[in-house]
Formats: sequence, C-alpha cells, structure tokens
Amino acid sequence: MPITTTYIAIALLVVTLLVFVFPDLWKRYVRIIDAERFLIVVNIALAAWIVLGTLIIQHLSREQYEAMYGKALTDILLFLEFDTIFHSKIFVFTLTCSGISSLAKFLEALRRPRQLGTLSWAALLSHLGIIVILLGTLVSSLGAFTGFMELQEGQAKRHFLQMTKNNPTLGKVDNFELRELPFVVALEDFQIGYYEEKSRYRLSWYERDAPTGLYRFRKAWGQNALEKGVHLEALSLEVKKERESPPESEQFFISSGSGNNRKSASIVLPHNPTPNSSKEEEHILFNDGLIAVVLEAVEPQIREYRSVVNIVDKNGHEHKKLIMVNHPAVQDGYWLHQFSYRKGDETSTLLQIVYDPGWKIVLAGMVLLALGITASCLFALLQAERKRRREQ
Amino acid sequence: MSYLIIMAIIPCSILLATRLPLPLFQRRCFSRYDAYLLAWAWLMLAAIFIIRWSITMRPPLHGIFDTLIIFSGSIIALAVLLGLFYNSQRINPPVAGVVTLLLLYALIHSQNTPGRLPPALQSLWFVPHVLLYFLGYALLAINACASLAYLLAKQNTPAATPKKAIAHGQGEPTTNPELETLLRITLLAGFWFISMGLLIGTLWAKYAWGNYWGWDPKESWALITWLLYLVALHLFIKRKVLNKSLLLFNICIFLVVLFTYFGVKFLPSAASSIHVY
Repeated sequence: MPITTTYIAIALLVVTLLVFVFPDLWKRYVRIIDAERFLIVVNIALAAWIVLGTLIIQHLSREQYEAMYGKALTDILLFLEFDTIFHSKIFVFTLTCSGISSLAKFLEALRRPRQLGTLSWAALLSHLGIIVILLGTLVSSLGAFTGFMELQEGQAKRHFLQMTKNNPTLGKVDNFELRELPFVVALEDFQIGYYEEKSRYRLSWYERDAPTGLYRFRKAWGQNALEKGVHLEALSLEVKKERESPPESEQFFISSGSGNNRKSASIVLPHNPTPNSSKEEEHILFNDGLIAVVLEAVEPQIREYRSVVNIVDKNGHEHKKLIMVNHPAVQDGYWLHQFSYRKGDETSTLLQIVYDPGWKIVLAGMVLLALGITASCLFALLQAERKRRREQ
Repeated sequence: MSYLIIMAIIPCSILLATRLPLPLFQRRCFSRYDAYLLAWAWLMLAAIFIIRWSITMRPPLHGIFDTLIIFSGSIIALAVLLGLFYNSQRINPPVAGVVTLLLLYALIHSQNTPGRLPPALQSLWFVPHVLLYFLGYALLAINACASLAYLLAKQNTPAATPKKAIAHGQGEPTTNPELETLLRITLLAGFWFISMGLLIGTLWAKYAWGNYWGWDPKESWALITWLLYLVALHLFIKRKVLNKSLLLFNICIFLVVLFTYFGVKFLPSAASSIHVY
C-alpha cells in the first residue's frame, strides 16, 4: 500500500473513532483539529509546499541538483523529498491534515445538527466534497495507472507501455512496464489536420558567448509567420520581407540601429519551405559578430489529430470509436486519449491509456464541493446584503 | 490596436490625475464623471475585443494580450456596476490605477498577432474556464482595491469605538457600510468564480489528458491562490470587524493572483508548463 494511502486511511479512521467512540477524549485533547486556526495553518502550509514544488524543478537526478544547488543543499533537498515534493511524506501529511480538519468539522457538526444554520449546512457540504475528493484520490492511488500505445494504420494491439510514475503533463517517466488490455485496439484511420498555412518563417536570435565563442539561443519571434516590416523591439531589429529574389525564394532584409549606427543584412530562403527543409538556415553576423540571426522554416501548426479505432472486446463485439484531443474513448473503464503521433510518419498515432478506479468518486466530490461553495457564497452574500440594509 | 489601448488608457489616467492630488477618499456621491470615463475606456476595450473576434473568428481569449483585454474590461464593467449599486465611488481611483497598469502592459503586447488554438484548447470547456477565471480575477482585483480604499478610509477616520468593545464584538466600527459590503461581496463572488474555474479546469484536464491534476506550475499557483482565498474567506465570514491585518492580507493575496497570471512563466519549472503564455 503506498505511503499516501496509509497516511490518509489511518488519519480518517482515527478521527472517526475519536469523534464517535471516544467523544470525551476528543473534546478534551484533540478538538484543535476542527478549529478554524488549524485549517488556516494547514492551508498556508499546503500553499508553501506547492510554492516550493514550483521553485524547485521536480524529478531531476542528484547530479543535476548538485550542479544547481551544491552538495550540502542537495542532500537536504533529497532527504526532505523535495525532488518529488507532491509525493513526499511531508506534503501528504499536510494534505491528510487538511482532510482530517474537514472531516472533524463535518463529524462534529453532525453530532448537533439542530444547532446548524443554513450557512453552516452549506459549509458542511463543501467539507464533505473535500473529504470525498481525498477519498477518490486514495482509491486512485491504489489502482490508477497511465500508459501509452503506438499504433500504425491497419495495426491491432492489446499491449501497451505503462508508466511507473504517471505525470504525463510534465513528461517525467521513470520506467515503463508492458501491460495488457482486456480488449484489442485496431487503428483504422489516423489523420492530422493542419492550419491552412503550411510554411512559416521564424526569426531566432543567438548571442555569442565571448569566452567560448559558442552561440546560445536567446529569443525567437514569429510563431505564425514573419510578415513584411516586423519591428522587434527587444533587439531593435526591423525585418522586411521582399520579393526581389527568384519567385521560389523569399528575401529578408534585417536592419538594426539608426543613422550612422544602422546596420543591415539580407538573406534568401525558399519561398515555400517544408518542415524537412527547416535546416536550410542562414546566419547573419551583426554588431561585430556578437549577434547571429537565423531564419528557419518551422513545422506547420497542427489543428487537430483524429484516430478512428475499432475495439474488439473480450466477447468479440466490435466498437468503432473516434478519438480526438478532448474527445477520449472509454472502454471497460479504460480511457483512450489522443496524445501525439510519430514525427515524420503521419500514419502512426500515439494513444494514452488511463485507468483510474477513483475518478467517479473524485467527480462526485467535485460536484459536492461546487454545490457547497455555491450555497455558502450565496447564503453569505445574502447575509452581507441583509446587514447592509440593516445598517442603512 | 495600440491606438485603441491608448484611447482606453487616457480616461483611466484622467480619472487618476483628477483624483490623486485631492484628498483621495473624501465622502462624495458617485459622480457621473467617473462612470463616463470608465465607460469610455470600456468601450475602447470592447472595440478591441470585437475586432480580435472578427479576425480570429472565435472568442479572443487566448494569449497574454487577449486575456489582458478581457481582464481590464471585466474590472471596469464590474467596478462601475458595483459602484453604482452600492453607491461606493471610493474604489474608482485604485481601479483606474490597476486598469492603467494592465493596459500599459497590454500596449507592449499589442503587436501580437492572434495565435491559433492548439488541439487541446479547441474544447467547449475553454471559453467558460477562461471567462470564469477572469471574472473571478476581476472581482478579486476590485476586492483588493476596495481593501485599499477601506484601509485608507479607516486611517482617515478617528476611532469612535474603544478597542476593547470592538474586540468583544459590542461596537460597530464600520466606517463605510457600502464599502464593507462591497468588500465581502467581491470576495465571495470572486472566490466562487475562481472555484468554478478551477473545477471546470480539472474536468477539462480529465477529458484532455486523462488526469484531473498534473501539478503543472500554473495549476499549482491556481491552487495556491484558491487556498489563500479560502483562508481569507474563513477570516471574513467569521469576523464582524474588518481589521487592518485582514485588509492587508487581502491585498497581499491579490499580489499572488497577479503572480499566478504574470509571474509563473519566470519560474524555473515553467519550461515544462503547458499553460504558460
């Protein structure tokens, strides 16, 4: 059982026992956890751990941390598990405290329901929502996993690679394990839709590092395309795109500065570069060779991916499903998401497989939380309005 | 776009300039003058919004420039409406100040061409998620402005009730009931909007990537903001008296909102973020 689950399960059990089985003990010694001050401290502590989690880059190796922070700090950082802060004991402990604070408030109020006002009932609903969300994450931590399946058009597969540390949005994976689905997925068709413009230019600025003589990337402009007469304030550059070159080429005039200090240069690149021609770049040295400007053709922007799959379940029934980003297919509790495709091969799709037994519990908790917050805010607004009218 | 932004900055600057040299928080009725100036600025922003919409053929809510326009426009619209309803003109100078700063920042990005939506953003969740967040942020901006106005008004008003009596909840030290109601209402409504924005965001993440939460830096800071406003809400609901530390806390957590909006991209972990723009 993971450490997260153990913490949460024990804490919830202890609080429930204290409130209902040993009420005297609860009243005398542990009442502090349903106090407002405790909730405030826990929330601020949670916020502080999350701040640390965004200040320290997560999931790096010891060598990388040592290069950044030195050996002594790295030792402390790794001892406190700040390299994986959102799975660390201290974070899970704080999260558990938040859960037991909500639970304590909820159970304590249930002992004397007649004394509760409408606002308190609404607040209780919010606390219940938080408890249910935490229970859902507990169930998820026991059985959820994420993996990937690469499929070519016409190919059918049952196996996929499961990540041992699932954080797909951050792309941090420690290891993969081969797993089997209870059904077969066959890719019938895969399509990538592009925005109209298939060729674009991008201007990148590289600065020369004087001691080493190497060029380091500083900034890029023109995510969509460089239009005629672009003024790039950061570098004081002016780019003019003119057709003085042959029709299949595009000539760019780049200048910086003014008056006697004005410097200019021009380069010619293919008019309709394809993604594969992105290496056809030209370098211009500016300002005594300290700045180099590179124009490159970049990949066209993707509008959508769509995979049409045929799923054959364990009973042999076929289910034809369309999978797109924001439009997953669900089969036997498994969610199949459109994740990516293999570059250079537009017939291969990459699907993300997610199995999460706790997702419905989390969803129920979120609905309760939404209802609780809505009711709490509404009743509190009415109270504030009544108070204002009284004072008038 | 730059001209329209400048045309929006001008009335806000006029409002600021005409108010700042005077005793800032004098008691006076909500003047039509303020409302007209802010309405003028709002019309300019509405024009930018419509132009961007006609260019992109979708609601312009993507990227720093578009969101700055919707953020500033929401602040102005809500401040004027709430100011009229609660007869509280004191928030106008700080609101004009905040909007001027936001629009000056928008001016830097006014040459940005509207970006194309990547596949993940082409979702029905996108518009409600962004709108809820920016309406929430706008209400919290007004809340911070009202906190500042209340703080300064309190400083200018001699304490009529002894401290002991206030501590025991016997006195009514409210210096301005309208402003106090405005403070509570913007906090409650702002918290509701950011909570719904957060919940819709998690549902969207479940549909797009399979997980409700990914600890992306922007998500993390959105959660930090939510937790801190949850603390503020508990403090505000329980207390009948709004003391100085509470109001200062309110202003400080709005700085966290601003960091969530503008500052996350400068964090070391932002390189891997899918939310940074």
